[in-house]
Amino acid sequence: MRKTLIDQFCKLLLAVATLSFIINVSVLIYGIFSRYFIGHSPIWMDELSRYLVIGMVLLVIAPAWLHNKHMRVDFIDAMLPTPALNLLKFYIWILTVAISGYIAWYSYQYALSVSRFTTIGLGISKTIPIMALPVGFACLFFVALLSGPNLKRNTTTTASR
Amino acid sequence: MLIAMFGTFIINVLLGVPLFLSLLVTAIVGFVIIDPILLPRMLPQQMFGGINVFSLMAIPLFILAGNLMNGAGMTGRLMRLAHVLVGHLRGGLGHVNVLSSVFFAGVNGSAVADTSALGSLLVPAMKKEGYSTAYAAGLTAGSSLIGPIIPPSIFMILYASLTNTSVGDLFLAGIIPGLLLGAAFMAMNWVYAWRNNLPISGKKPKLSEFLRALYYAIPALIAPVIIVAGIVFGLVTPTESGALIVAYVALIGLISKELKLSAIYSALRSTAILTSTIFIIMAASSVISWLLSYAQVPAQFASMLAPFQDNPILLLFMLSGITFLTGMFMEEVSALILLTPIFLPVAMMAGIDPVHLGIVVTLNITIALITPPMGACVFVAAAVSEINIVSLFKTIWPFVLLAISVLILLIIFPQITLLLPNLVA
Repeated sequence: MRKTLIDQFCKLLLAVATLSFIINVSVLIYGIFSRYFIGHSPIWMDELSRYLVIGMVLLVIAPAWLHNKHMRVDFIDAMLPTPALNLLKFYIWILTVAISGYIAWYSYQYALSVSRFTTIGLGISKTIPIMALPVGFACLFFVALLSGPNLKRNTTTTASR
Repeated sequence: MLIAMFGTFIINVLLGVPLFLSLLVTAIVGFVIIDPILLPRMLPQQMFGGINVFSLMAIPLFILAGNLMNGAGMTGRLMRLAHVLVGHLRGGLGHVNVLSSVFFAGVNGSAVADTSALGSLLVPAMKKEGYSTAYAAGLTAGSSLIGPIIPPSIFMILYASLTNTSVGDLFLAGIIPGLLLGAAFMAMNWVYAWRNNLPISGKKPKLSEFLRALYYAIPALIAPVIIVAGIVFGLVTPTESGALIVAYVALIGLISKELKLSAIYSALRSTAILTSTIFIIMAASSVISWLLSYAQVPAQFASMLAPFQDNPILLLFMLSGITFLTGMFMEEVSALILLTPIFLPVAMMAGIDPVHLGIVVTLNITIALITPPMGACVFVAAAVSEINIVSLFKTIWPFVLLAISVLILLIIFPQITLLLPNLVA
């Protein structure tokens, strides 16, 4: 049940991120088209493109973590006996939960603190794009918390990827 | 402070903590030492600011273009053309491997993608022809270094965003060094084939075969021309050029009916994941870069190297040595983000052209992709060649030395790098 919930949640995050990427490509193509065929490029184009990519990047941190896609050196995994490997996994898990929780909270505070400033192109509150940071790290926090440290129970050890 | 930060980073990396988390822990340690009050505000501000740069948005687009190109079967067509051009020579498959990397580099700026795409197809074929597995895997990993040097290049876009250098100039400057690297690997392969008396596998192709291979490869060969010409002549920004090339590859793939919708979704999905893993490292590295600036490390570094400013070549050798060692133990994107702001003021004071510095640093960082203990391309090459990683790291050194020779040539003769940008300017 818990695993299905996490999997479905990560699939949803990936789908939203993919959609955001498609919109980004469309916005950029529209910008080029309007510059050469209408005579001017909308001033909000590059800002929207940046925010869409940043949104995509931060939404995918959690699915990438779940599927062990974040870059890491995993020499040590194959060398350690199961108890030591479990200890290491627990350390990485607790670090992920602590740091993602910390960043989610403080970036949320930071996003609120800039609410009275507006962006130049879109004219929206700066809080809106910056909220990608707390949302992305909050997703990582919940996915990591619900997934648990994924400790091994058997006696053999294998590399993580 | 530096020792504590470096120690924290190395310990966490060696323990297998994901790199972005290792960087964030290191940043937190740095803040605690310098001024803990700054931490809650500066950490999110620098993370967001580090990736909120328009030119960086080109990176996912070029990654997507490469992924779509694979899905649309363009990689296979480029390999076919390379086969027709050099497959009939002694050591033909080795030459095909290198030339395919040159072609592939024109659309995809990632060396790891190059190793993975070409290695899985060419290494088994090379083994059948009598190449040793270690050599075939080493050549695949080595020649993939051409990817980030010939435009488009992820590392160059990143360098340009950090230094306000023209992406167009950097892309132009990378063409000759990339071709030089390709020529060096082909020469090495020729010597290997001659010494091991490898058979000549194919016969010289007829003109009609060449024309047919060229006809099918033309859509893929046009892609780098669109990218470079669009940026250099100011028609589009690097990011817009990325979007154009994505639309172009998707259109070609859909018209030729080789690109299925499922392949497009798969390409988008894998691009989103790869982009996220790269950008989150950039965001975390930006925090450390800010911390180093706050602690005036670049200024201290510049004063340390002040005696060498009269000799730009010696200075470039020293900077290259530092980059090489850093690249061996650090992920390439974070190494580039951390080192570039430190190197640039020193290089500018010595009169080194920032475009030349960019190519030297990019090649240096790229070489780190095949050096132990963290060379990502060697890991991929070992996986696709089914060879033990330790034995591949032992046999990779001739390829590393060859790439270093090209680097030395570029340092001594900046004209090689600056020829095309100066011509166009």
